[in-house]
Amino acid sequence: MSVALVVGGATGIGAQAVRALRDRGDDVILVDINEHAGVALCEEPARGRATFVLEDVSVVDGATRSVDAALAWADGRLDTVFFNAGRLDARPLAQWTPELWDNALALNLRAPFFVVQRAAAALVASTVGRVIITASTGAFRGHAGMPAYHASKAGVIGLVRVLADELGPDGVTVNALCPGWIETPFNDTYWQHQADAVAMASALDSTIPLRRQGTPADVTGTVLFLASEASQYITGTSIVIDGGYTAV
Amino acid sequence: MTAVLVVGGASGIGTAVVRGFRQKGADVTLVDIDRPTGVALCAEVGPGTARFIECNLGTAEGVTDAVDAALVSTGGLLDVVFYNAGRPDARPLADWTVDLWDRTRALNLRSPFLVAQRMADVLAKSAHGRIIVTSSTGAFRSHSGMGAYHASKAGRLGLVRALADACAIAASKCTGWSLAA
Repeated sequence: MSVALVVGGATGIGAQAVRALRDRGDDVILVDINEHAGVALCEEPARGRATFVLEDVSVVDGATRSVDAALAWADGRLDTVFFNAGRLDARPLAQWTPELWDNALALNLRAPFFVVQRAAAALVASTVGRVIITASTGAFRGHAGMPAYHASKAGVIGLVRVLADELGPDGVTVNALCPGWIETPFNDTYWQHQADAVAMASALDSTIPLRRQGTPADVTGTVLFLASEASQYITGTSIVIDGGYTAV
Repeated sequence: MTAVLVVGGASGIGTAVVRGFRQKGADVTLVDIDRPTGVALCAEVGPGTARFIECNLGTAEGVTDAVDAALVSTGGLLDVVFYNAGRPDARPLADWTVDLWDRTRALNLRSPFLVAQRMADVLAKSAHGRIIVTSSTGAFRSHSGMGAYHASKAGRLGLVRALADACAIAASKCTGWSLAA
């Protein structure tokens, strides 16, 4: 049994990961700004226990308090940090302000760093210390209108390399997940930014070798694998889960 | 029960994978050039079954014969192909001959393509068809004296992308993966 801190998991990929981790018996601390969905998720019956913590990790104090709350709940033990919070902002180039840029980067890039910084000592103390940060195939490709998203997701790829080097000597692995098109409300901003979303969605499916967008359940197998002893020699890298989207 | 074809597994990573699949109860067919070691590995006691087929993957006929023999032994059904065979030849630049280059490329790049080509229809019938090809971090970095190795390992990354597209179009199930081992 392990203890996992999931940051950003009231819906979508994170919620499915919370369910999968609990189903295998892990205890989960879920941090999110969506209290209603988060509490409901933690109240679902499962093998592992779960608790919800309401924090905004885009504020550094919120990131720090999240880790502290997790450690307090789990008696100081922490084996897995799955940082899955993120935001996708879409605007024409001229409408981007420094504030919007800073807010996006604060959540997508600064927050995972400070969460891991705060959790590092506990992860080192674990025999299976694992950090998993959700990046995106958006780290390798870019779309008009979403500069902060693509820049920050590419930044996560660099961040996991640094953290892997920093924590590797102490046995903690750090990796990035790169989901491709996963059907969740997270993508609504992207589709609302497109002129003809229906036609584009249909065209998108035809460019993916597996001919469909993914579901959150398509990602959980990799999360469970990375958050296990089986992945002990994988660190500092990125795993793409995209139905072949970036291969072609 | 999952039926697995391991191509190149009489030692190292392939051996561990053969044992790992059998621990999960899979039926494993091991194809390798090293008969004594391969036979001994398949004779180990395990939850899953295993059999050995000797072959030379350096020739197109050798690949075809091995794949056909594997299919006969599994009743024409396979779920997973793990292509792990490879050779890391090292020589000073001037000592490389066309013959050595061709032999390295035949095993490291042509053979996995031919195996995948031959197996595509079989894997498409599986509910979870999988092709896994061992590449290498040598696909991203290189060393003096090993041009054919690095070129072929980088080539495998391109190969799995093409197979991922081709196999998915045919079957919508078969996934192509490359291990950077």
